[in-house]
Amino acid sequence: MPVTHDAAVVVDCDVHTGFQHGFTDVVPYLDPQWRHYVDLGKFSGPGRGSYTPWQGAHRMDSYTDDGRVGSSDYEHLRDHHLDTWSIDIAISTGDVTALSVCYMPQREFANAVASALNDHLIDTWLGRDSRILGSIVVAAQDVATSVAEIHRVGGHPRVCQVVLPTRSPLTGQWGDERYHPIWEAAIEEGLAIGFHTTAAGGNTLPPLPTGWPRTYMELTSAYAIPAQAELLGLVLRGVFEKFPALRVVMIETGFAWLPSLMWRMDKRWRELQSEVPWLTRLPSEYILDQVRLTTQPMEEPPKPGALAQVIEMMGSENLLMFATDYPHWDFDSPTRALPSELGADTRRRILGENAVEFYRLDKQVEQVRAEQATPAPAATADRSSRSDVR
Amino acid sequence: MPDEHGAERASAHSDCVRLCRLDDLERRRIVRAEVNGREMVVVASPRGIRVLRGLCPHQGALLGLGVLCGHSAAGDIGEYRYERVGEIVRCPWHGWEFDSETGRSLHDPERIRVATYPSHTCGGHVCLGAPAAATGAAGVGQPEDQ
Repeated sequence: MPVTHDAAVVVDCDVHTGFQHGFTDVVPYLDPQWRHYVDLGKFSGPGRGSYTPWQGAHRMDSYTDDGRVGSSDYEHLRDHHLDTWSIDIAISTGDVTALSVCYMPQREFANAVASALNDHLIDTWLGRDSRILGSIVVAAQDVATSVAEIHRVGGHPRVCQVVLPTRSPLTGQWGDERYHPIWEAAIEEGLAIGFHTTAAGGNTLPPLPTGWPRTYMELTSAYAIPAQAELLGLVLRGVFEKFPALRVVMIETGFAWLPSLMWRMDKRWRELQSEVPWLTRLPSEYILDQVRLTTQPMEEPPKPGALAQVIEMMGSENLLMFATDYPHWDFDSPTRALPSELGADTRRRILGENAVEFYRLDKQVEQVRAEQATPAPAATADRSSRSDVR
Repeated sequence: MPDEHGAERASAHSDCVRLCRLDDLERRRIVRAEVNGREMVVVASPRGIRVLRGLCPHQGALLGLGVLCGHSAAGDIGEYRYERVGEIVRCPWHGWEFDSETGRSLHDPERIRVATYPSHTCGGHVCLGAPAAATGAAGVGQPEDQ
C-alpha cells in the first residue's frame, strides 16, 4: 500500500540507478578499443574503494529475490521505491562509482567510460517512467571533452543535471577557472551541477585534507569538509558571479554547517573584500540564489526542533531538498526523516516544492499527474491506483 | 489480540497466536511476523527464541528484514572483540543494534528500545505468549516496555 503525503509533490533528489550485472552492463557501450582493454584488463568499473559500511553499501532489505542489489533493474526500483513511497519525481545520480571517472588517471579511457555510462543510463533508465530523471557524468579532468559530452547527451529531455564528485579531481579545485567551460555548457543545456559525496578519490586522492580516514564512519562523518572547501572556492573565486545562471546542488554533504560557513564568508568579505573585488554581493547571497543542498543523510540533533533553528539561520527555507539515497544503507524515509518540529509548510517545501523550483520540474510533474489521472493500461496500474489514495 | 483469554488460547493449540513456522525460523534465524497488523520480529538466538516489536524506532524500518548478528566490543583502542554472536538484531537500514534479550538498543539502552514479548512453540510454530503452564500469556497488548 503506497504511503500518502501531506505534501503536494514529493521529489527524491538522490536515487541511485545501477546495473544488473555490474560494469559488464556498460561494456557494450564502449568502443571496441576500450572493450578490449576492459576484457583483458579485467576492469570492473571506476572508483572501487576500500571503505565499506559494516553491513554493506545497500539497504539489507533492498535486494531482489534473486540476490541482486536494489536499483539493479527498473521494475524493482518502481515497485520497491517509487510506488511504495509515492515518489513523484526521482532524480537519478547514477551508480555512485560512476562519479570516480573524474579520478581516473588515463583520461582518454575516463572519457570513454563516462560516455558509456551516460548511454547506459539513457538506454536503461530514462524513458521507462516519467517519474525518473537522470544525471550525466563527465570526466572533468578533461574539460574540452566534458563540454562535448554535455552537449552530446545533455539535451535529452530526461537529463536534468551533470553530477560530479564533491572532491575535485587532481587537476584542481572546482572553483578554478579551468572548469568554467563545463559550467557554461551545463547552463546552455539547462542542466544543474550536482556535487555528490564520494567515498574517496578513487584511491588517488585522500578524501580529507588531513589524509585518509581510517574507518567508513570517520569518512562519512566528514562528508561536509570537502563540500565546504569546494563551496568556498566556487563562491570566492567568482564562479557564481561569472555564471549567475549556474545552479549547484550539494548532494549528501550534510547541511547544518551552512549557516556558519555563510556567516564566516560574509564577515571576511566585509573585512577582506579587496582580495576578491570581483564579488559584487555578499558571499551568502550567491548561495541563497544558486545553491541547494539535499537532506540525506539527515541531521539528527538531540532536540529535533533545532533543525527549524538551522533553517532559520540559513535565512531561507528554500535551500533544502529531500533525498532518500535509495538503495543505499543510510536511506532516509520520506515519511520519517523530516521531523514534525519543522512545521508543515517547511516540510512541504523540503519534500518537493524546492526541488520543483530549482530543477524546474513543472512540466515533468504535470506529465506525471496527467498519467496518474489517466485510466491506466496494465503496465501502469500501480501508478493509477496511487492517485486514488491522494 | 491476546487479552484476558490469552492463557486459554495458549493452552489450546489450535487457538495459539502463531508468529511463524519453527522450521522457517531455524533456517533463517530471523523472520518477520505480524499480529493484528502489528509488525513483530522473531529470532532464534543461541539463548532461545525471542520475539520483539518489529519496527525500528529510528525511521520505521522492518527489523525482521535485518540480520541477527554479534556486536563488536573492545577492551582497548584498536581491539575488536566480536561477541554475543547471534543475539543482536541489526536494522536493515542504518544498522541500529538491539539486544534480543531485552529489546534495548546498544547505543542508548535507557531511551531507545523495542518491546519484547514472551513466546512458546507448539505444532511446529512459534506462538505468542508464555507457555500455558506459566503464569499466563502476556501479549501484544502488554509489552514489557515500549
